[in-house]
Amino acid sequence: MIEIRDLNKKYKDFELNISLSIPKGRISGLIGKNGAGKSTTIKAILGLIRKDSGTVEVFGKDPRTLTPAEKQRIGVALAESGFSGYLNVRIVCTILKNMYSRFDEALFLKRCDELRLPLDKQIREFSTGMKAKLRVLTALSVNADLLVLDEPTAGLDVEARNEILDMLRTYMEQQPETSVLISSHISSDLENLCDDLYLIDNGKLLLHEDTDVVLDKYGVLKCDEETFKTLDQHYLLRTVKEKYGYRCLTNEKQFYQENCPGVVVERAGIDDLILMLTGGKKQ
Amino acid sequence: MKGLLIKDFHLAFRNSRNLLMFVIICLVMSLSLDPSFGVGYAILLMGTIALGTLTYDEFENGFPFLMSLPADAKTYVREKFLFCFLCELGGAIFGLAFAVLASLIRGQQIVLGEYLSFAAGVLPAMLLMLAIMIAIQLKYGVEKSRLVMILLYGGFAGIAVFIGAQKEKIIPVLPDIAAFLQKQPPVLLVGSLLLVLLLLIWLLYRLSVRIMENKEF
Repeated sequence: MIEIRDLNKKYKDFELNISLSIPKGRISGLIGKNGAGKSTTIKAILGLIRKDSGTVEVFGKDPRTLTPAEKQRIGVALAESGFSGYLNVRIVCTILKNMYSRFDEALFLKRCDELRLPLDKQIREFSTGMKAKLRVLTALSVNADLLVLDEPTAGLDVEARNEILDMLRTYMEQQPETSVLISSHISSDLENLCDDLYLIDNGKLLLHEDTDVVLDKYGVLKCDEETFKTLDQHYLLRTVKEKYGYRCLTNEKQFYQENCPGVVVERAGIDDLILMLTGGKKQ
Repeated sequence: MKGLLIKDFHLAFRNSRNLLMFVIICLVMSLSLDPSFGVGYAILLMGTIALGTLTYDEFENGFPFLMSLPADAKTYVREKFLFCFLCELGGAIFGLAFAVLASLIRGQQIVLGEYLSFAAGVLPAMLLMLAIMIAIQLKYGVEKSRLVMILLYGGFAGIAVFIGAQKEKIIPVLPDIAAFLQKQPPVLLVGSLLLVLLLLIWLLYRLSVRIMENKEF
């Protein structure tokens, strides 16, 4: 569905270099800090920017050459862009009906009701959460083969976030063939959703791993300075000096659990990955 | 294309108070001035309203999402030109209706031919103006395009001053040009003028498509 090989995009103070691949039915997460290059990657996938070098292919074609009919197969929710705030949901529904042949109007209106989105109120009068829900709902209602969701839960309270995540989970259960790319800097959102994760920082890909592998094999070790010196550092990916000693990231959690009884080994969450891979000292 | 047209229609005429103002202003213009003037004013006003949809599209970073919808750069520009044309046509029809209504209220004779010829003169000129504005707004954005327009008007004024300074050379030639034009059949003159206008609008459309295709969001 999406194939990016050595994509390079230069700005005055930022450079993106990334490769990624999202096959049919895969749910991939794009994680990283703010300004890491997530939105630039998504813009390249949607053909909103021109690449300097490398290849970007969506459905086997350069996204900038996709026809309107081919673009109907993509559902998009962008973090900072959407329908004009001067429109209302009823008009948005009419627009979508006339732009997407597979738009499910009945489902869209049903979901609007469930999500308490008023049909006749101007979007600019919506709360941040309501706007985010509408953006995601729009993307989910077009029966797309590919979903591209840029920070769908950014800036939302817990309730609104959960509603959006529930909506996504339900959709993915019902449409297992759909490929999905979700970017987020809120890692817990992605842990239960994604099959694999791409971690980028400063425009570079730091890690690509299956979520299950991250949760099963990656761990955080905590030890004092003395223990650290005696530790087999062969499987440590990053270390961070702390007040109490060292905090280390490993992709062989079990090895340390079995062989280093004095070391605290914790499950590594995606937040730990981001923090340590983007801030820790490389071993 | 249809979806974009629906969007623009709702954005342009979202406010019923604005529409009412449009009707009142056109009626007042038609009643207080020459009814033909009301026709021109309706066309001008509708053009301004149509062009305003570009501002809505750009407002609050709307373009990235718009361009991720099933519409490519060409479709977007084509729709914008079509929407402006439809609005101008609507403006002309409303303007003519206001002119007839104003003539009836004022007890004047309805000179439909005069109103129509006025509309036929203003409409293509306004369409050309809109085509220029669309290209400039797409290239420079709403804010910068204001400055560009000021520079453009300044350029036109400069040309006018230059021509004025050359009047000694131009004035002797004018009677010859007028005589030549008078010899030509009116259909040929009007047809040539329309053809030139259409050609310019088509060139501006192509330019707008090129601008949009090269634009990054």
